[in-house]
Amino acid sequence: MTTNHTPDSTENAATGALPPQGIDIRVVMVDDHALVRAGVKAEIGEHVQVVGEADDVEGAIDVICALKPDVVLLDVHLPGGNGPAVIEGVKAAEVETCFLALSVSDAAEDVIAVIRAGARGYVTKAIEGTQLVDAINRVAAGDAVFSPRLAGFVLDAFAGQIPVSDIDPELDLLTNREQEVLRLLARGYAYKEVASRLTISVKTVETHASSVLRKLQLSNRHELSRWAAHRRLI
Amino acid sequence: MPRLDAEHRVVSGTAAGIAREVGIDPSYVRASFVVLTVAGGWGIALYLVAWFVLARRTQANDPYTSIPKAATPRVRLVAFAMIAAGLVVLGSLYGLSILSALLWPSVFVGAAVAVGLDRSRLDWLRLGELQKQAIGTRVALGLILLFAGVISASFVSLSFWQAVGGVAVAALVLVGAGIVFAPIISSLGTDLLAERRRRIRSEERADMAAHLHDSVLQTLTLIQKRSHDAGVVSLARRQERELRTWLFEDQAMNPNLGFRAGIEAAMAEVEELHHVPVEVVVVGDSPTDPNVAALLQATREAAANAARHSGASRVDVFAEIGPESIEVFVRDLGVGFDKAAVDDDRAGVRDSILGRMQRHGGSAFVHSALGEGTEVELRLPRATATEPQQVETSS
Repeated sequence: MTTNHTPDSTENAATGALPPQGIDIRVVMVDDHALVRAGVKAEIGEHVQVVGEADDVEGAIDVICALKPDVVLLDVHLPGGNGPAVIEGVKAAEVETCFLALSVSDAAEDVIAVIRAGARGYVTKAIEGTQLVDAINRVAAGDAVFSPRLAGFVLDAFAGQIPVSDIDPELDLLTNREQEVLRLLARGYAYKEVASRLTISVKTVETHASSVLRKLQLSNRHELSRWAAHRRLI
Repeated sequence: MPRLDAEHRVVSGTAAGIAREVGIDPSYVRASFVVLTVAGGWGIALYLVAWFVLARRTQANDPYTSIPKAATPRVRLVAFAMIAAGLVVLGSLYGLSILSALLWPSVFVGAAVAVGLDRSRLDWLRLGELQKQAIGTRVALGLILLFAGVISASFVSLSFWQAVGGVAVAALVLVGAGIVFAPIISSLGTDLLAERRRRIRSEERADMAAHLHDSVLQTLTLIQKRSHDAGVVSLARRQERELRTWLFEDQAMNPNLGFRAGIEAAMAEVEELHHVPVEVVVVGDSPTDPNVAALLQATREAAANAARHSGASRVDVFAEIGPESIEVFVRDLGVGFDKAAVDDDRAGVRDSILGRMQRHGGSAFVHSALGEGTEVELRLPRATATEPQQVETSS
C-alpha cells in the first residue's frame, strides 16, 4: 500500500488550514457554451466565487494566468485544442491551480487524456449542483475526484486491456487496495461509504485515490494511447 | 461433408475422401478416374475439380471426423455426373455417337445447373456475405462444366437434327450460366453499392457528430439539470441517449452485441420506463451467451426494482467483466427494505433475480436495510455451465 505519499493534499484537508473552503474558493469556468457556463454558474454561484470565464484555449490560459484561481472547471472539448492544451499552457506559465474536468463527453480517451494532462478529477455535467460544489471543494483541497464513470475508465485502463508495466512496473500497477477502492467508487459509493465498507479512514481513501491518479499520470504514455487507439474511441 | 482424406491418400486424398463419404472402397473411385482419363481425358478434369472442392472444405473445417451417413445431395450429384460421363465415354468408344452427341452436353449442363442449385433455391438466390467463400468454388465448377459442355457440343458433326440439338444445347448452356452467375453478379453489385453507401454515411456521421456533439448534447444535459418536470427530464435524457447511440454507432453496432452494449441498452429502457436516472459503468466486455443473457435480465430486474420501489434519485450500476467471472452491482440509496418483513411476498425478487442466477450457474446477494438503500450483487462464472452456486440473502 502506498500511504506514504500525500504531497500537499490530505494533511491540509484534515487541518482545514491552508486551502480555501466554500465561498472563499475562486473558480474560473472554461466552456465554449455560454448557456452551460450560465447554467453551472447559477448552480454553484452561492457556494463558491466564480471569478472568471473563458470559451477557448487561449482565452482560458490568459484568464487563468491573470486571476490565478483556486479551481478551474474545464470542459474537455474546446475550440483551439481541447482541455489538455489548457492544462499544459497553464503549467508552462508556471501558474499553480487545480483543474476539475467537467464534460458531457463519454469517450474514455478524452477523459483519460485530460486526467493525464493533470486534472484532479472528472465529473459529468449531469452532476447535481451540491455534488459539484463538493467536488470543487475536494479538488481545492488537493484531493482527487472520482465519479463512478472515471473510476470505471481508470479500471479499464489498468485492467489488463494493455500492459502498462513497461516503464516502471511498481508505479504502473494498482495495488489490490486501490482496485478495491476504485471498484467501490465505480459502484457509486461516496468516499465516506468506501471508508466504512473497507474499515479504513476517509483520509486513507483519499490517499488511495490520489495515488491512483498519480500512477495514471506517470504511466507509460505510449501504452495508454495504444489502449485508446485499440478501443477506437472518437 | 466430404474432405480430403490425408490418411489413406495416394496422391492428394481426393479419391479416398470421396470414397469415405460415399462409403465404398477408394479403389473403385480411383479406377473410375483412371477409366475416365483413358477414355477421353475427362477423368483428370473431374479429379482436379473434386480436389479443388475438397481441399477448400479441408481448410475450412478440420480435423475430419468420420461419421457414417447417407451421401449428401452434392455427392450424389457428383456421382451421377461421373456415372453418366462414364456411360457416355463407353458409348463413344463403341461408336454410339448420336447418344453421346446428346448426352455429353446435357450431362455437363445438368451438372452446372445442379451446382448452382445444390442448396435450396431461395438460399442460392439470396447469396449473402456468409456464402462468399462458396462463390469461388461455384464459379470454377460452373465455368469448367459449361466450357466442357460447349466444347463437346462443338465436336458434334452437323446434320440438320444435330444442328437443332445444338441450338437446344446452347439454350440450355445459357440458362445454366444464367442460373449460376446471375445471383453472384447481382449480389456483387449490391454489395459494392452497399459498401459505398456505408462509407459515405459514416463520413457524414463523423462530420455531423463533431458538430452535434457539443451543441445539442450540451443543451440536452442542461435541460435535464434545469428542468424540474420529471417528464421533461426523462425526455431530454432519452433524446441524449438516442443521439449518443447514433453518434457512436460504429462502436455500438458491433454485430455480436456484447455484454456492454446489452447492459447499456437494458438500463436505458429501465430509465425510460421509471423516470429514474441509471448510471452505468462497465469495465471490460464479453460476448453474450444464454448465461450472460440471463445475467442481463437479472440486472434489468434489479435496476427496475430499485427504480420502482426505492424512491432513490438515481440508481448506480457497475459491471466488471473479469477473466473468471462477471460481476454486476445494482445500488440505490433509497428506502431499502427489511428482508424479514417482506420475504414472503418478494417472489419477484426471488424468482426473477435469485432463481434466475442460480439456474444459470451464478449467484446473487441482496444487501438491504431500512433507510440505508439496497445493493444487489450478481455474479456469473465465465466458464460455461458450472454447478449452481449457493444463493443467499443477507442484510
